[in-house]
Order: sequence, then C-alpha cells, then structure tokens
Amino acid sequence: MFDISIYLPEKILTNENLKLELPDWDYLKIQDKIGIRQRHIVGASETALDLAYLAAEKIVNKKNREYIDFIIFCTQSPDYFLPTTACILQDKLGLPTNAGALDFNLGCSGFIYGLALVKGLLTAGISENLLLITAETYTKHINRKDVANRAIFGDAAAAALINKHDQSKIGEFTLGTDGRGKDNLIIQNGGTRNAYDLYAQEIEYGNGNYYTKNDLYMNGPEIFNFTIENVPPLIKKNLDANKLSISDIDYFIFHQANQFMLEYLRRKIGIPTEKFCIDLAETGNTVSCTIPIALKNAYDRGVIKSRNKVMLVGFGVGYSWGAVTIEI
Amino acid sequence: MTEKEFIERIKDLLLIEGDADIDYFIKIDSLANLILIQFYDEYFGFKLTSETLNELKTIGDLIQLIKEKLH
Repeated sequence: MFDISIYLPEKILTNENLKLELPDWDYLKIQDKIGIRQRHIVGASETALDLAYLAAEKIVNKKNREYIDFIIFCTQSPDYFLPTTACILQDKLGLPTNAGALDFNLGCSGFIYGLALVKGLLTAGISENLLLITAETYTKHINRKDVANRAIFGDAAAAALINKHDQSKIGEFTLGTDGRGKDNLIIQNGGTRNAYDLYAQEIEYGNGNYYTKNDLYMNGPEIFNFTIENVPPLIKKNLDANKLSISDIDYFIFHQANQFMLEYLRRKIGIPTEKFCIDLAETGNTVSCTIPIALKNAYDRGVIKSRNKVMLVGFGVGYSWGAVTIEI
Repeated sequence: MTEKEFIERIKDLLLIEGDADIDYFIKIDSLANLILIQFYDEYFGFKLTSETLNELKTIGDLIQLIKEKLH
C-alpha cells in the first residue's frame, strides 16, 4: 500500500472534559451511540498548514524529496484566501520548484476526490510521484455552545505518497454532487458573499445548541437523510463499475461520520460487520482525514493486507460524494 | 405494530424511563433526531425531514405521522 502518515494535534478534548463544561450533557449516551470518546483539537495558533506540514514531513525524506513532482492539498480551512497552502507546503517541505501544487476545497469526500485527481495525473503522465495531503480544523469554526458538533468533530492531517506503480491499484471511481444541500453544512460568514459579522446573533437549534452565522452549522437530520438516500446506490454503482460484488471486497472504509450513521448504512447495504470499518473513538470525525486515518490504522493493525480489495467511500458537505475501490 | 408496542419501542429507543403515553412530551435532541430518522426509514419506509422533526412534541405526534403517511 502507498505510504500514509498522520498528524494529530497534541491537545485532546475528551467526553469527560466536555461534561465538565456542560454538566447536563449525557456523555455516556452519546459515547455509546456516536462512538467517539475523544477528539484532538488545534490550539489557537495552530492551522491546517501546520498539521499538513507535520503529517507530510514524516514521509518526505532526503531519498524521495527530489522525486515528488506534485502536491495536492485538500482543506476547507485554508490559512489564507491566497496563496494556496500547497504552494507554501512546497517551500516548507523543501520540494523541487518544478513540482506542481494545488489546493482543492472539499470536506468528507475530499480524500476520494484527491485520489481521483492523483489517478488522472498519473494516467496522463503529468506526474509520477505525488503527495496527497488532507488537513482539517473544523473545531476552529464551531461555537463553544454547540455541543452536538463539538462532540463529533476533531482536527487532523494525513499525507499519502503515491507513485506511478500505484496507478493500477486505484480502481474505478464513482463520484456525485448535489449542490441543493449547500445550506445543510455551511459557514455562512467570512467569505466574499457575507462578511464576518462581529455582532452576529446566536441561533438555537437541536434542543440547546447554539451557533452564529460566523460558525459552522450542520443540519444533522438532513445530512443523515442525504446519506441514507445516496450512499447505498453509490456502493452499488462502484461495485458495478469495478465488476465486483460485496463478497469480493475485503474491507469497506467509509468516511467516519459517526458510529450510529455508519452502523445503519452498513445494515441497509448488507455489509458484514467484520468487513466494515468503525474507527473514530479516539479521533472523532476529522472530515477529509477520516478515510486515510482509518486506512493506515487498518493496515498497521493487520486488518487489511497486501492484495486485499478495499472500497473507500466519502460523503458530506456540498453535498459531495465519491467511492473508489483500491488494491492494497 | 400496535399503539402500545409503538410506545414501548419509542421508550426503548429514546431511553424514556417510567410510564409514557401518547401525551408524553419527548425531548428531541441531535441524537434523538438520528434515532427517529433511522426508525422511520427502516420500519415505515419514509423520510423524516428536519422540518417535521422540529414540529414533533409528543409520542402522539409520532403516531399521527405514521397514520398520515401510511393511510
């Protein structure tokens, strides 16, 4: 399997920590159903670029540095409007100036789309050794009084080094988009359409959670409805595209949104428990990083081995979704 | 599923302790939203939107919803 490295911020927010802030919060019920015990969160001065650099530094070394000819970076929390974070990473990592570099903005489907871009660049012969990096810091955008989202999201970065020999191991993709869902996972203020509002009003939602239009807002019920409607056909389409059936796949790694949602999707699709990844207890939902984190953990723990077929499935903000089957 | 069985099921799902009838006020937090969406999709085959969930107040409302959708 291609090399993957992970970086998790040092600061950890446990359910017990949250309970101290919110004495009425029934954390045992949440832990049991949602499956998250803790999440890593960035400090005030720590950014997606910092996390990305620390993840990438682990797999970029003297031997491979000069051969890396492309950096693809996925985040929705860029350090600057411009320049792109990938350009800054090229310099910080000491990569050659003849390397291409670009950012793209996607959330939970980001790793799948990143792999699609990687495969395109390899197939076209534009690149031979790529660094695909995802880094996310959603916790910077969550209101302190929004316990529903604070309990779910964590911060992280993942870097994957992929070369032309991996090209044949990346199978067919199935991608999809439905922008009608844009309002269901959004930060409304701070971009060019709506300026950051110093006097933004707090809005209550979901029985005791608060956000302002400067903060991340997630309509959990509609996101769940979207996944129920779109993920089962996505799996079928990707199996068909790769001429495979569920029994041919050794392991399924879905975006680790929350355990409750994942378990229901697993049952609805008919995937055996032993072939289905649930890996978010220690890190929470890290957006575009959940799939590479789970993939690396599954490989390191021997759950998946060389030549196994693994389906990777991402879905979320946009709405955006994608699946690909890879050979380990 | 009878009305009584339905109420017992809702009590189980939403961890309601003690007696509950159709007038019982339910607390629908973010987790209860997910639980109810799954329950209605799996057992009754229809979608609960966030708008519908916001209007639900009692167990009776949950039952009424099924009557409206399935009859």
